[in-house]
Amino acid sequence: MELMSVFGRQEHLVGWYCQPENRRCHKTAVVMLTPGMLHHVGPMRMHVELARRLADAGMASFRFDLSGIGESLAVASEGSSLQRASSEIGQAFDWLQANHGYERFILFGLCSGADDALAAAIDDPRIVKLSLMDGCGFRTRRFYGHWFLYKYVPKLLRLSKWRDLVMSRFSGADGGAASMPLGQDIREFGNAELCQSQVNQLLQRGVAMQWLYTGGAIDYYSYATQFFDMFPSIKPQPALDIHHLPSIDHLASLRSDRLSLLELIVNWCCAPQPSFQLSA
Amino acid sequence: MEAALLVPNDTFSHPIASACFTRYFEHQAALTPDAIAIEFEGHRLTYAELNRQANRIAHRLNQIGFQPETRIGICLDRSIAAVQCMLGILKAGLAFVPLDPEFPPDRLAYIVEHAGVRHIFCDAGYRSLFPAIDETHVTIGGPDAAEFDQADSDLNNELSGDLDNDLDNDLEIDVPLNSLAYVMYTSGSTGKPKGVQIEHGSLMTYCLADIEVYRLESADRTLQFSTLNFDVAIEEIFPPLLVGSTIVIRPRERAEAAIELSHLIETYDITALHIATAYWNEWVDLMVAAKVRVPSSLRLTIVTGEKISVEHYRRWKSLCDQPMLWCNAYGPTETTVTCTVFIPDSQWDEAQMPIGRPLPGYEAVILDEAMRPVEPGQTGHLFIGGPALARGYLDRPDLTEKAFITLTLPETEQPRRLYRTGDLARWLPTGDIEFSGRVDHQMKIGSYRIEPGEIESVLNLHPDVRESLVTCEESGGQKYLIGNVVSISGQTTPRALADFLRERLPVYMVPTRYAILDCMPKTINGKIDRAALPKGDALQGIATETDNQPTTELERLLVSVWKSVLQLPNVGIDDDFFQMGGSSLLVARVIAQLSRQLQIAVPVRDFFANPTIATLANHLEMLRKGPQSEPRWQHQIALRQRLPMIRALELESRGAKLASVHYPAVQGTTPGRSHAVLIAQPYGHEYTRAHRNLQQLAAQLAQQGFDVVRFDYAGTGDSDGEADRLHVEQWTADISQTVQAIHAQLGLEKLSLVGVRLGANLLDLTPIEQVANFIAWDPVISGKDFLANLQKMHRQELNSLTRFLQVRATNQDELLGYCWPARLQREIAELTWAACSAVPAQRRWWLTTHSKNISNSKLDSTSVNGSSSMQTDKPVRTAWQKSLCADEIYWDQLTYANSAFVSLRTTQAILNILTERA
Repeated sequence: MELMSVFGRQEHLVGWYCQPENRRCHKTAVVMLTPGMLHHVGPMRMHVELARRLADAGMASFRFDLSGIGESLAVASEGSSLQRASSEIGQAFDWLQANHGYERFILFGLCSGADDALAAAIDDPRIVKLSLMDGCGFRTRRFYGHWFLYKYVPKLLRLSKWRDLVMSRFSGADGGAASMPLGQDIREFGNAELCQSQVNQLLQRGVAMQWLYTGGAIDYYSYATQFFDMFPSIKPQPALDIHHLPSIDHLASLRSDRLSLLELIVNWCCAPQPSFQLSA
Repeated sequence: MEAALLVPNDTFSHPIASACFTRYFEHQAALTPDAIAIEFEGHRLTYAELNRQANRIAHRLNQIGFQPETRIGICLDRSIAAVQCMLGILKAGLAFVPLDPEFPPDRLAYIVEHAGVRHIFCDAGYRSLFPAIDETHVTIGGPDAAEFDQADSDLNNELSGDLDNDLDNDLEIDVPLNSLAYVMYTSGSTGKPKGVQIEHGSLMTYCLADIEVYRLESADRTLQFSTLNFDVAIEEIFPPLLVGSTIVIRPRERAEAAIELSHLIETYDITALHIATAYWNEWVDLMVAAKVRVPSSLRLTIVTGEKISVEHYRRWKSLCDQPMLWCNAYGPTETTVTCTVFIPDSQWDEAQMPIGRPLPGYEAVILDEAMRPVEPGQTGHLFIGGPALARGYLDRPDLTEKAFITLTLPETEQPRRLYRTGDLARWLPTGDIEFSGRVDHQMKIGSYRIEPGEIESVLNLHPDVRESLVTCEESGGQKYLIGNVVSISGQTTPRALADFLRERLPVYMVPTRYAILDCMPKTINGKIDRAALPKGDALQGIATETDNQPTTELERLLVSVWKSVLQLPNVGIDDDFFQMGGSSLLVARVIAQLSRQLQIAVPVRDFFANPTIATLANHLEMLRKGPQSEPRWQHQIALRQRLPMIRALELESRGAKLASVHYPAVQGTTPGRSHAVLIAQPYGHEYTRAHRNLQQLAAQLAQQGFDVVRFDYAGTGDSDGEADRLHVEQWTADISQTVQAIHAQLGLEKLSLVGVRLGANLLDLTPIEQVANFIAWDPVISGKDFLANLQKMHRQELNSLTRFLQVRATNQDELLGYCWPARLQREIAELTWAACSAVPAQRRWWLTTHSKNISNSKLDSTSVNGSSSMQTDKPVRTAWQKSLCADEIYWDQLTYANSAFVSLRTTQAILNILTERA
């Protein structure tokens, strides 16, 4: 069952509540945040598909537009954009709590949604899990070798790329378009020290985190264990679920990628205990 | 110093053109065949290849048998193909006429007819702009085309697949130096543009001077930034090709970088830049605000178009680390491009910057009213002479005679042909010329020269205008056109006048400020007393006619910044940035200014959440004071009250629950009209792109008293259903159900339909009774072409995604990440915009954003005449009232697939249609 709701202090926020037919989690719901300027349906309907898979697994979800994005009206002003997002996420929790009795929340955020989710988790103790896709990242010493390996070597080794180059030189043929890039102008995460401190703070509070880095984040995340090199004070532990998915683009444009990604997220959200996995 | 006639200064030699441009170019191509001549979006063309391609075009034009100097139109975006065409036309001894697709259709039609254009090279999407040109005399090309696509023309048939080597060779045609090279149209005072004729000799004289003065060399990489119908493009393209250097054409995709121009220069290692003064000022400001330096690769910067702000020059110097040849260039189109240049030395620091001295081959003379040379320091009329002068105005001997005179000066024996620039100037003791203003009322706004008479003649066509006068005002370093209008009824509004002009004139010719008068103030002689016309705050703007004035210093600062960025005279604190024409690019400019003036970094998202000055000021106040500050909620509350109370509409179609949003008419602002508007959305990536704009359209319509309903088709967006079962019949059933629900649940008297892209086609396929208005916004003209383009974009996207060094694969039901089941694809492929709508003709509206945006959809060949009805021999297509809305919406380009666009004009057109006909 899906219901549109209008909520917020000025009745300016719009979201969709998806309740499973067989509700297995009565106190916990997943809340999905808007990525960049895309509205709550998500890129290629990703958020809708995630909501329905979560519902199949018995987990309720809520996807909503931050003010000024999608259907939500631009009438909010509560500090910085991260603070405003945090406040509006809190208003969504309040609505879910008042109308459906949820007390704990799992946040899913992609791109700027991941930044918003991390900031909100610091502020709101009701958040128990975070699933962050292409969240904050910082180049390390080892980053550069893998960056070259993942970003440029495939191009050098692909005959088609050389052919394209030759074609473009001699015939002006179109070499194809790049995948959707990260929107640098909408990213607001802090420096490595601040982010490390935030992650540590959340871990100490018992918040489980899933970090998913796609090939779309290649310019700041290029190898599987980079997370622990970025944040040296953080060690692998069950509450952290880190994945490096270099063949998936930033928006998981291909349906097959999206399905495997959604499976990963749904399984993690529905897992009773934080799991530990480090995949290459 | 010679006061009267200044021969170019002695540091320059005086090369004389001995052959036409193409001969020089062929020589260069033989010298450096493997050097890169042009780069565009990753494609590179060597000199040999460019020459070969131009030869092929020239041979084919030659074979058609055009007479020398026949005019050939070029309506191409900046591209390799455009340069090939220019060269090919010149090689064939013909003359090209740049045609700007942004011009209103009437203006384009006039130019084509007046120039006697016999053949046109154009991008596919621009074909429909030239209904009068027969198919056999149109060659379709495009930015991606290395050669022109094959169409049904003689020329194209000749071009197709022919490997005849003779076609690659240089032509034997001897093009004389006095042969016409091109005709460039500029604003004319009579209400029609005038065509400036430039001969090969003039072009070559200019090129040789340019190469010498700007010290062009083979290592240069010149940015081709200007549109082709502007003479700066000549400067950017032709001289660099004579020294073996590279032209780098500005890519179509707009960079997301905060300072786009710096990003372009750095990315492409640009060494030479030609830039309009207004744009250069803005660039300098942005660099100062962002604390970045002038890109290190740049060695030559030529600023042209308007008087230089010395303050900006000083700032520029402080930003420049490398040796830089910086030039202030001056020149009307009638002198080919630039005729004088000032190159300040490192010590130069004066209050006013002169326009310098004539280029090699040019002469300048300043005469008094009696046509006698003035003394140094005295102001007089500036005339330019030399072999680079234009032949005159095409088919306007009266204008030519007036502007080009022959005069024997006291110091010289030979009579000289001189061009009357219309500018006042004086000689400085240094030997430089200082610009002192205009003789007549001609204006220069940005890079455009504008004859106010042309705007006045169009304004006078407005049914409520008795008399008009267009003037210009400068404020804060920006110039604005002012429309002074005597209204017959006294009811005319600036917005109505601007809308009227936008349909008939280029955007840059539409005044942004107006004075609505009972009568024109007159002098004792009965002439209009220009000094007595309203000025400054007494003028009315277009965007806002409200009195919501700023009350705090911060609000006043924001008003000033918005006015400057949006170029509006009036901005109220409750006006919405995006509804007044703000775009994400303009947001970047506002951020740069705020960063400089307030030392505060504002994230882009803050603009989307705080779209008015009142709310943004409140937000910034909180950012500055920190969490202890108390927000002033009254503006948020007031803003909220002006917006609709959104709610869901219960909808079900064939067992699937449809997600729908109802925007009820906002109470209190406008009386409810009992009029519903149903918006039918596109599907796929176009749905994502259009979503924000349709949400804004819905909110604005609600503010105008309409009840608006949007919904997602079954299997799309938030609606129930699986995307792999999508088909057209389901979608039309969804529309029928929504219409029924609107009637049943809202009980409104009238219903209008707005369909976007595929949504328009679906509305057309759905039988709906008693429709007040049906607006089709860029409908899919040919489903087959639409799908083909979608598949092409999908392949492009796949090509950038690999796994284990292999390009990723998808099944055939997936296109750009969205499900397009085989059945749906078959159904879409059969769609044509037959327009057999049951809605009566006078209630159907076809809004097309610029036709280049649907370049892969073949528009019918009927004309696009503002909002007037079309006349055609195809009755099925006669029944739409068609309007061109010049918004930049690139439906068919992958680079824009995931971002929103600005649709200010289309939104305004919809609002106008619905409110006027409600």
